[in-house]
Amino acid sequence: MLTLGDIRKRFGATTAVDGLSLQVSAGEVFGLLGPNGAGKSTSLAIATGLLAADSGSVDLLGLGSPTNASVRSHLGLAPQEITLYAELTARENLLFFARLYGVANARRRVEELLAIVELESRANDRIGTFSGGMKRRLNLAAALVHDPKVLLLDEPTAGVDPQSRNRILELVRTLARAGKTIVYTTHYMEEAAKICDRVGIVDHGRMLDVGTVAQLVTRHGGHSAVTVSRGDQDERVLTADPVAEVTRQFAVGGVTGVRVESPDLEAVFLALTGRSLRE
Amino acid sequence: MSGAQRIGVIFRREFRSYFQTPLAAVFLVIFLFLAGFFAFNIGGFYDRNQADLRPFFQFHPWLYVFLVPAVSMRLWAEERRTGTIELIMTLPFGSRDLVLGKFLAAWAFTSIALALTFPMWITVSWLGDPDHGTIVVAYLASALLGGAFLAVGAFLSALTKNQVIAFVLCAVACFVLLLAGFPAVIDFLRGWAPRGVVEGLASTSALTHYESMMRGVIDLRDVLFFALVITAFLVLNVFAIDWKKSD
Repeated sequence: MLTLGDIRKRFGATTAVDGLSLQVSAGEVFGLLGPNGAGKSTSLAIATGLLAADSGSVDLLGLGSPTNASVRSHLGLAPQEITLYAELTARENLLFFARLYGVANARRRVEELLAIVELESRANDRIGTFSGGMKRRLNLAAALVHDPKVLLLDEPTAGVDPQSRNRILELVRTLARAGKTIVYTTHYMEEAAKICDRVGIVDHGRMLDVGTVAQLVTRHGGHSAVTVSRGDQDERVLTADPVAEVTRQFAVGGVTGVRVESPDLEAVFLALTGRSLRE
Repeated sequence: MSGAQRIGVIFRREFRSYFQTPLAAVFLVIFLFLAGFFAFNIGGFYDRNQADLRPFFQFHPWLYVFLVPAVSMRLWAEERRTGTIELIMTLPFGSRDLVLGKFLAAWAFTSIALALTFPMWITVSWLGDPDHGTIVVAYLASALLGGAFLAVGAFLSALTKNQVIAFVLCAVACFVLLLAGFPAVIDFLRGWAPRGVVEGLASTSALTHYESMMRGVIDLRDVLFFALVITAFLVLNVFAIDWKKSD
């Protein structure tokens, strides 16, 4: 569906993308997880044809590179920045893009989208008056206006309130169920774990590993930590089989409390890069 | 969807955007005030005792040097600053339609400002018996000059996200485009440069072609000059947008 092959991009002395490859299948939600400056947005800009890679290849739906205008019609982009016209209303913004995409019955499509992102009541308000979360939802609606097969969402929940974040995540799940292919960049591991079928860990412009969250955790997450309390005494045990360890501890007796910490994507990132995702 | 329809969509959004900010009102008030001020106070509109609009039109090039960049500076710099360029550049068509739509909207806006000076025409018609053909051609020359400056400004606006830089670059470029035909410059060059060089340089000046049309004569060379400048800078604008898509 979307293939990036050995993409490289430098800005002066800085290498933004360093041989990154990925293959996203139809109907998949693929997460690009990495800290700010890891090369996620640059990779997406190359995938949309906004930026030319120094080397490597991009293919969308087997049609070639999105630098070709007709190929781009299958692509929807919600960039990291809010890319809408502040002086226009929500409805006017969506209508503008719908008309440029040549959407048949643009008005009906816009009303549908306003309902999907729950902004019908603010449809006639200029978006300069919107909260960050509302703007994000409208940004997402603009990416959907022409019903593209592939959606590229660049940090769609950055800087939004929890309520808007939940709505956006729910919308992404709905779109995935409807068969959209989605590439979702984020530096929030909980989001990647929640909504992505597969996750690619990116750092310093390189794809360090790709897999389902379970596969990545198995490969790089290390052992689970079982903390057993006996009165005032806590004992922490690292184990590959936490169930067996808990069973063993209960068999020894005197257990007043048990806490099991399973490895997560944070542990995976730490193992792959030697630093925390939040650093 | 055809290219013309897309240009229409872009034109309408862009044109409306002038009136959704104070820009339109400020521009129109300043343009109309200065155009009148120069015509009456410096051009000696009444003192000449001639029923024509020469004192009015002769200052347009100098007014446009400062006022047209105020319109053109935002054309692309604003899209870059707000990031909207990222989304419009992923639309499934080339940047030609975007460039044309934006340029035509800006040109329509400045042409409206020009059209709002019609009371000058009424005044001179009331006071005397002017040559209306000359006035029509002078209006056309002024509109073409405004279009040429806008095309230059749109191209320069595509190179930066800073509107102030876009304004200064455009004002300087338009000034240079006029200066080559300014009598003082031509007289200075005549003192030492070969005649062919002086004439060649003067022929590249918007001022030379503007003044030629202002006399009421439609010379194809003058119209072609403005058409060429507009086309050349719009093509450069397309290249600039494609070159700096995601900046």
